[in-house]
Amino acid sequence: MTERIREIRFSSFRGLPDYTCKLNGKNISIFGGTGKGKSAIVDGIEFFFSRSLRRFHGEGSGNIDADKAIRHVLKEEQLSVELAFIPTNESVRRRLSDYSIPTATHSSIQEYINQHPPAGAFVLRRSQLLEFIHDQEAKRYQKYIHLLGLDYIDATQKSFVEAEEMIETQRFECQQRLNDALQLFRDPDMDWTPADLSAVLTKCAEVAQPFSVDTLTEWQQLDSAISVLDARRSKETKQRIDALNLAIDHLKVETPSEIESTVAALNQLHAQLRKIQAKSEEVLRGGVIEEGLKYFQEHPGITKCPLCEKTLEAGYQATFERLAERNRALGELRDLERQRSEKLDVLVTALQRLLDQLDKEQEEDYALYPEGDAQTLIKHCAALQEWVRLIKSTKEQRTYEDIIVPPVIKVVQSIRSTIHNSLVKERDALTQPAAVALEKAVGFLQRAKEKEPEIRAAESAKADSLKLRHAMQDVQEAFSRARESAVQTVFDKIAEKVLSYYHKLHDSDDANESSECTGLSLTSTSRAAAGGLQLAIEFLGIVDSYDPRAFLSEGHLDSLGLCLYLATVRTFNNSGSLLVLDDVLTSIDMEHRHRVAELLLEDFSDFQLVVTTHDEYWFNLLQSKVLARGEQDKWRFKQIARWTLEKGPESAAYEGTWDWIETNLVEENYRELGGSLRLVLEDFLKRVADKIELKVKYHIAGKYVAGDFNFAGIRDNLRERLIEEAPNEESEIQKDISRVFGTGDLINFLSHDNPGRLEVTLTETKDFVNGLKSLEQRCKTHKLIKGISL
Amino acid sequence: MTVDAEGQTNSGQGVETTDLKSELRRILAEDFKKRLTQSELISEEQCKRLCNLLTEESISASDIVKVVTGDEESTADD
Repeated sequence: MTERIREIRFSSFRGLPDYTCKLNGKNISIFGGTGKGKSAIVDGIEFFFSRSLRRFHGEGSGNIDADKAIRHVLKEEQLSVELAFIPTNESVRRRLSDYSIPTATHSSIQEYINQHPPAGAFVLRRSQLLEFIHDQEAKRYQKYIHLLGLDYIDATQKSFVEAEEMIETQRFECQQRLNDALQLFRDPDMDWTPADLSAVLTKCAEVAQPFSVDTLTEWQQLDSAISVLDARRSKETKQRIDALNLAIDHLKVETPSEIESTVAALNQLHAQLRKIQAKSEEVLRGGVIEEGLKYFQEHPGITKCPLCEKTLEAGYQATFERLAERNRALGELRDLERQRSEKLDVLVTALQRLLDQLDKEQEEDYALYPEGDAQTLIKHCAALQEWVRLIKSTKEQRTYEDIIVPPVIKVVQSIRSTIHNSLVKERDALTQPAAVALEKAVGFLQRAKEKEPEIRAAESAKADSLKLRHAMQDVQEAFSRARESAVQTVFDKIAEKVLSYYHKLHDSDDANESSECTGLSLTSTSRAAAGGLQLAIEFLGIVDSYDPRAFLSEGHLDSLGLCLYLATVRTFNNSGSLLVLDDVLTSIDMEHRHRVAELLLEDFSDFQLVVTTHDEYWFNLLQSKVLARGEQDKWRFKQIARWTLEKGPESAAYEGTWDWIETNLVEENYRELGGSLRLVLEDFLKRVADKIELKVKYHIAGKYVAGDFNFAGIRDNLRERLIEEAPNEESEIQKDISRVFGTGDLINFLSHDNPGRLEVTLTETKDFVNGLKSLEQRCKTHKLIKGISL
Repeated sequence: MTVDAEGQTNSGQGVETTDLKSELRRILAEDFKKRLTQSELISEEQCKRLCNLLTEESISASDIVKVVTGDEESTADD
């Protein structure tokens, strides 16, 4: 990535009504007390890249209206965060209405944006430091996968699992159809049900054998066996008994059992969907978004909105991408809706099966039913059909009301059961006691003849579906294992990096005092769609693979959390990308902060760092480290002095004071520089006084002015120390001291409405500026000044 | 340092990083193919189609089912 951020402009965003944070392509460290707007700057960066702030979404976010929470409370104007880049001078602004980041004109900026992972992967906040350590394995895994931008792997895994479920559902339905068909041959007296078609044929032979049917080993012999038995039956009753047997068989088919269980599952899904719907207005638009996306896919390049017919201001591609992103954001909803749709299909299929059965009975058997029962059934069937129609239409709606199984289903089943008993009674009455066995045998064989093709087809479908299931299991297993192995490769690399960072922070020069964490592993623990990630350490080489919380102190856990995060960033994020650390070092002690600073400066020198803190020690420490490495040109250090609702953060000195002075040190403007010169002089004096430990009258909250240092004798003190350090340069030092301290009222004249203002010349002002610069350089050379200038 | 398709490395300002995402995709695709070819129930053609699916931006369950059941071929023939 060649681009870096020049500045970030916030408008009506949280506590930043109209604010610009200048980075000039450098790293920035921002120091300020609690409530000074530091986190709002970080929020803005997160908003730019993801439109939403993680802490306003998901678990624990309560009823926060996320869109409202990121607006400035007083500002009515359009909220926006704008990133301006360097070396190209383009900026990209994201408004609340931009569901995707607007496309940049320069390809290098677009590349910069595209190469950034999800915001969580480069913006770390203090509250998230311990998340990876305290999280349950499954949650840790999901977070990690998301952080690494590997969601596609899990989405693919999920699709494989769903595919396996779909095939399993098909297999189950085939098995169910076979079971239903075989159930008709159940002998309740013997508590026997055939396992397959061949068992049916064997039973046929068994029941026919007493009636001189000697051979019945092939299905082709069934007709002749029936003829043999038929010849022995009473001619007067056999026709009626055959009809009754058929009707009785039909009535044995029960109401599909899955109706009740499917409705219960659907109601659970509806409850979840209602919950999601209540949390987000966007859910209500879910259907429109999905439809819109489909329309855009089918009509590439359209220029007008298909609904309102207005021209697409953002153009086809941007609008399409925005729809796609909004659609993706509704992932949980889509998943539940998919499950709902599948369950509705199962329910409709089961109900249709019941209706088909009732139609068949009406067509073939109603003439045999007791008077009145047929009419009652017809009436109830009409009610049932109406309910099925309603269920079918439910699929298109997104109201998610509870489904209640209508009583008519049980009523129909009860009537059929009564009719069944009545028909059995009639058949038995028609059968002579001596002919009971014969009639049973005939009934069995006729049933076998009728059902043989259906059972054969069901068996074949079952065998096919079983083969498919095994094939699908192989496919799913292949992907699961490949995923597990690939993901583990990544986790091993991260674990190696985490351990090296942890050693950097904790290994001591004293050989006897080494880091207590001697090994570390990140292990993928499950091959299911929702995997797990176990974090374990080896403690002092004694205890292997154990939860770090069992051995490490809170401080060490914090630094382990930081190492985990930084290792992930280092391993996965692109060189040149952003790394934002929002107040993450609070619980780490001084010694280890030194090492964190070194780690950041050494291992993340190719990133653009944004480091915020409310800890002045850390702020100063980072400055010292930057100075010691001679990298002050790569950093900006910014102090926020106060924050007000109307103005937002205000700097201790306005940004770029030296830049401002350089620009305005010309004839037309130099008289306006009084305030700026006072700022840089006081900043210089403060840092020198701090370093040489000058005794200055104490002012609360650092409210020192130049006079305080002059009274404390800074001029003589500094001169003596500089001459002591560089005796050969005494005359130049004396000259610089008098250029800065001997200018009398130059700054006062320039700062006030004073006739003396007109007497100050540009040459005198330049001389003061050059003297101050030279003096600061001398102080830096001899380590007589703290920090970095404004 | 990023590893490109040919396995060459490029240094980035002296600090080493690895393009693990691409490497991960490669390992995943190769391992998946290797394991699929070991299955007696998956034909060479199905294996090829399933591996092709992995290169897509997103895969739906019904896409996978179509390949495994052979519906995709019959649709294509139609």
